[in-house]
Amino acid sequence: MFIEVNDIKKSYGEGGSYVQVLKGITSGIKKGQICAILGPSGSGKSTLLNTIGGLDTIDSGSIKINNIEISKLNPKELSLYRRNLLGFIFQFYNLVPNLTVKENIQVCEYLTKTPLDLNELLEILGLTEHQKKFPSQLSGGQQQRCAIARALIKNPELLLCDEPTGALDYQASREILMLIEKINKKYGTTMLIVTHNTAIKEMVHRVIKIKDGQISEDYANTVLKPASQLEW
Amino acid sequence: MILNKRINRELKENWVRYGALAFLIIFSLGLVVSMAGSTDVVNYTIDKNNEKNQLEDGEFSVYVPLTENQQQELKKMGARTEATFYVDIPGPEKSVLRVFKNRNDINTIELEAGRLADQTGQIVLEKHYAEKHGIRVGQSIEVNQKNYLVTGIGTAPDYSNVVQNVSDVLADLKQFSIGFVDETEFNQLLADNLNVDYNYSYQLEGNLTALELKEKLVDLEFDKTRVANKYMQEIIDTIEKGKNDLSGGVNKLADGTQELANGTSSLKQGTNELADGAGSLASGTDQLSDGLEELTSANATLNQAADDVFQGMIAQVNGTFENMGMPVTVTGDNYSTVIDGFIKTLDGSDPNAVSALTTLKTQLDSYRAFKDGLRDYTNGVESAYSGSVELSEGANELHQGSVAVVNGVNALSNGSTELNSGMGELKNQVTNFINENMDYQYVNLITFLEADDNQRITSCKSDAAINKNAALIAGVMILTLIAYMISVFVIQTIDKESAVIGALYSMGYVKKELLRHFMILPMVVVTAASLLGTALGFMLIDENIKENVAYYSYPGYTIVFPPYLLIYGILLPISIALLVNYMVINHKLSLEPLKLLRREKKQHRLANVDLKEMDFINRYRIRQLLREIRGNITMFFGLFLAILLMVFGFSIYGSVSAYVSNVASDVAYNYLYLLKYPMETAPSDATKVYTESLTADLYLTGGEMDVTVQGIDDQNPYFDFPLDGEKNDVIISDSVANKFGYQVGDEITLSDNLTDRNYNFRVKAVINFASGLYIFMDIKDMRELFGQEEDYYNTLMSDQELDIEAGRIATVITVDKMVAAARQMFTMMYGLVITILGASVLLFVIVMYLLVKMMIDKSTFSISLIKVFGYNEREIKKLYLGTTFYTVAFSTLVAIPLSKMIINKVFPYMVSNVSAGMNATMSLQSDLIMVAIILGAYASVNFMISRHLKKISLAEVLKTRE
Ligand SMILES: Nc1ncnc2c1ncn2[C@@H]1O[C@H](COP(=O)(O)OP(=O)(O)OP(=O)(O)O)[C@@H](O)[C@H]1O
Ligand SMILES: [Mg+2]
Repeated sequence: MFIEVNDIKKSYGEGGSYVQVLKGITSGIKKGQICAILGPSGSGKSTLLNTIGGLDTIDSGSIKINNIEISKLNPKELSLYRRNLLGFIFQFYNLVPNLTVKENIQVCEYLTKTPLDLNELLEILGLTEHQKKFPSQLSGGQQQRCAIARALIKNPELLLCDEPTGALDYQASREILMLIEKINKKYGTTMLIVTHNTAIKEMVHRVIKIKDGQISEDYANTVLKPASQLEW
Repeated sequence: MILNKRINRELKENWVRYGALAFLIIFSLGLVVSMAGSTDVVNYTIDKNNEKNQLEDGEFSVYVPLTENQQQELKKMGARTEATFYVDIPGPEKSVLRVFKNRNDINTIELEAGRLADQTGQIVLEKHYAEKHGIRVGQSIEVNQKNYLVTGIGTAPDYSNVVQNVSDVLADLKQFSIGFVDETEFNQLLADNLNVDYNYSYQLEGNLTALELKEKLVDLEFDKTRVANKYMQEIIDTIEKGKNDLSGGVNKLADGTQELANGTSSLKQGTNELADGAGSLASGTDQLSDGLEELTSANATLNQAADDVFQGMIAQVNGTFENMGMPVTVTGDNYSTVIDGFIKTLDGSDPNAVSALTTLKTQLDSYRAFKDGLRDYTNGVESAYSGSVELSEGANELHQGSVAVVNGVNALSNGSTELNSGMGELKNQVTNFINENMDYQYVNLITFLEADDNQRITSCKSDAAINKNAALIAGVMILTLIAYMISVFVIQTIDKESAVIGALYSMGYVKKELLRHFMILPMVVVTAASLLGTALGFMLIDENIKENVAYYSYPGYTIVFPPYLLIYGILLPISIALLVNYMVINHKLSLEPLKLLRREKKQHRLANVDLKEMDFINRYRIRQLLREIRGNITMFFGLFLAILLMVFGFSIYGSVSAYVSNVASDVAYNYLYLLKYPMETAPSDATKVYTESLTADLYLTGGEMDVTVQGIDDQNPYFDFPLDGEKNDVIISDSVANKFGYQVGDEITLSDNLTDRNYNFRVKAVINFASGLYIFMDIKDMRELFGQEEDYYNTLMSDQELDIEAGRIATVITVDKMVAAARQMFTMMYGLVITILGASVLLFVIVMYLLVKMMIDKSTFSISLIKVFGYNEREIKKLYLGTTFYTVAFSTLVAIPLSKMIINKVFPYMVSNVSAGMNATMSLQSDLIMVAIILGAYASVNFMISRHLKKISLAEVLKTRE
């Protein structure tokens, strides 16, 4: 297993404001797979993703990525872990406003010694003609593509996406999903996608449903539907 | 790092902000570096010139010029001296020109044009004087009704501050200056002029100290007959007259005795020839009577002379006691008891003192024996005289019996015997006494002034030094503020991009990389600005130094680049910015990535205070204020600094203008004549005053400063305070009180540097007297204290000009002159005041604009939202700019009194080299002007910001996400 989470628990606050967000999550994802994490708002999806990304700590349990126990890493080792292994895609792109598309991608190219070919990536993501534009001059979908490119440039082994299509319309969302699919195939990137879009579950290898901090459903798809055929 | 590409764009987007900050840095560094730099240039120039032209270590003046031998003697001791005699003579336009002869070794002339005067009828002028009178080399000038060819223009190192008297507050370069002629010309001038100042400059070599030199000068013998000054000669004559009277009396006495002898022999003859006839007897008695009468008439002079001597001796004894610190006054009657008393109290503890006292007593005893002998003698003369009268009567009554004649002859014989035996003894005694005891110690030395205490030499450098220190301190304060403001802006940027930063962190960026990135812009701005500012500062030195160059007299300067100033101007701002930005940005970037991603801001606890009692607008404003507490606090400090500067500017203005008007109002007399040689009888329309110049320790500089003690009497029409109280009670001027920090009841010590004597006084009251540094006391007490005679005076105060021989006058101070000097100080300060006020307003406006703009920028989203809700511009202005008003109002209310407190404390140090005590004062008018400036600045910033507010579009709320 590339990702192994074992009985992770996570709570926020103390006393009156105490909430147990993750109540013992155990699962495993194989390398190269796309996994969708679904569930109602507030169920703990983002929290789970963040703990796997080393952005948030857990109270107990273990998270092993590529056999590294990341819950035991100190902040410095964590950022090294993220630097070497991870790519992040957020709902609100979080691009550097005063850098162009190309530069935004180069910001992350800097983080690795073995980046992907930038022009090829721009081509794949359909950003070649936009590469000199600033984020504010792009549509939401284009911005998200830029964010994806930024996350992919360093060829991460694990791509974490928190509602990557949350701010996009139907058409743009589908394009993004098709890209994700394409990249997974091309680079073999393992992907965790937190989403509200239930249609996505048909195109991924694995589906984990969370409810109230616990896994309510966890299954693998045997047949994957191409993203281009998804409807919602 | 590709991320750094955003720096350039960030700079472009916020060019107003960074431009304004850079401007502030460049502007303040430009001012500070040019101020400090010009000080260094002045110091460098003066030091170089002093070395080149052999600046004196000090100077002294004497009544009688030193002899060649004495100068050699001093040289052997280690003091090279050069005569710098001078005469003050009238030049064009009522000016006074102090003329010296050319110098050889010490204080040599630095020519700026032309050559030295080397023939009669030629002169070299001080450069400012030449300029003010429009005289160039080759032209001529009329001095003392004689035309001189100006052969050169230059400066002398001992007159870099060209003041006539060392205690003058300011120089008047048009009215007084110096000139140099060749030796022949100077000797001609000396021949014409009675009032020559025999001044010498010295340089010390080896281990000789100034104090040792001074002591040597006090002890130097000098030839009293060579006193050239007629007024000094008068004084010496009076003293010598006592001596002459005494020996004259003795001679008369001898004459009288001779006549008496003649008379007695005639008498003998007469008695022998009694039978020969009454006629010859009668003539004999007449002759005798004449002789005795003459003798008797000499008695009074004799006794008077003896008494004069005795008083002189007693005065010397009192002086000695005072030097020894014994607080007593002896008289002719009590000296024996007093001295015995001392001997008893010392009781062997100090054998030297006991033996000195014993010697003293023996001397006084021997004198008393002489006095007693003299009295015996005069008694003898008198009884002889009365005998002769009796004889005369007897002769007349010759016919009445020979018994009477026998009696008369016997009485006469007795008197004669007594007289004869006393006579030889007496003459010896008197002569011995004169030789031994009447050798009056005339001290030739009049003044002794070390270069370090000579404001003609020091004030240029100290003047510049004060400006420099003030500027350097202000500079550090402003730089710190700017560095902090920059960091506030950087924080705003970081806050704005916090999600992006969170994203970068989650991609694996580490803090070090981001910290470095965010530091670059502020550091580049600060570095560039400080390089430019320092460069500008060095370029402005020429401008800055103008005033100094125009006032002080020194040769042309060369710009120097002192390393410390480069450190100050470049390294210091960079270090401050590095430190402040590092701390603030590092702190900001230490947030966890998740928090950054969520834009979680640490809400200040204050932001949650309960405000439910307030109406909406005020509540909103206060919330906004609290939300932006950091910006507001920064603004407070910025405005505080600006207001501090403003108060400083107005205080300089206020105190100097108060000084000008107080000088005019406090001084009631119109003329003050300080006399070198007071005349026997003062003009009846003038008020007699006794003036002494002493020095007091000045805590502000750690050095000393001259104060003038004036003895006045109760009838003095120019002062209206009572003079009663203890003998050492003094009344000090507020100027003195301010300068030295004296208060009523304080014991103060002033010293006479010439005699190395200390005097203790008690401050009884402080009165208003702005001009100079004056201390007043009862003239009787003062005469006693300084051992002067009953009616001694050396100063005259008057309403109108007095007709006094010029040679007697040391200085004339007129109120007009004082006020003019004060006014000149005002003009000199004016430029500085304007600069400071201008800088403060700039600082105020820029700080306020940038911070308010930043706060508005941060609230763009909510402002846009509020606009969407339907609030109109007026209401929005109220909500967002109202908070600024709170901060400005609060800053003003706190900063004005606080600044005044600070300036009051600091101001005395800034004027510590001015010989007048000035308080930092601000008129109510200045207060109002200041408030008006603040309100005006606030209004203009408000105007600029509200234009900016208008520009915030409704679409903002749709574009941004918060
Ligand atoms: N820093 C925090 N402090 C306190 N509670 C938190 C914090 N972060 C998340 N929570 C709580 O944890 C719970 C799970 O949050 P999480 O963001 O994981 O939900 P989610 O499944 O991603 O929901 P959504 O689909 O709306 O994004 C929520 O109830 C949330 O209020
Ligand atoms: Mg979520």
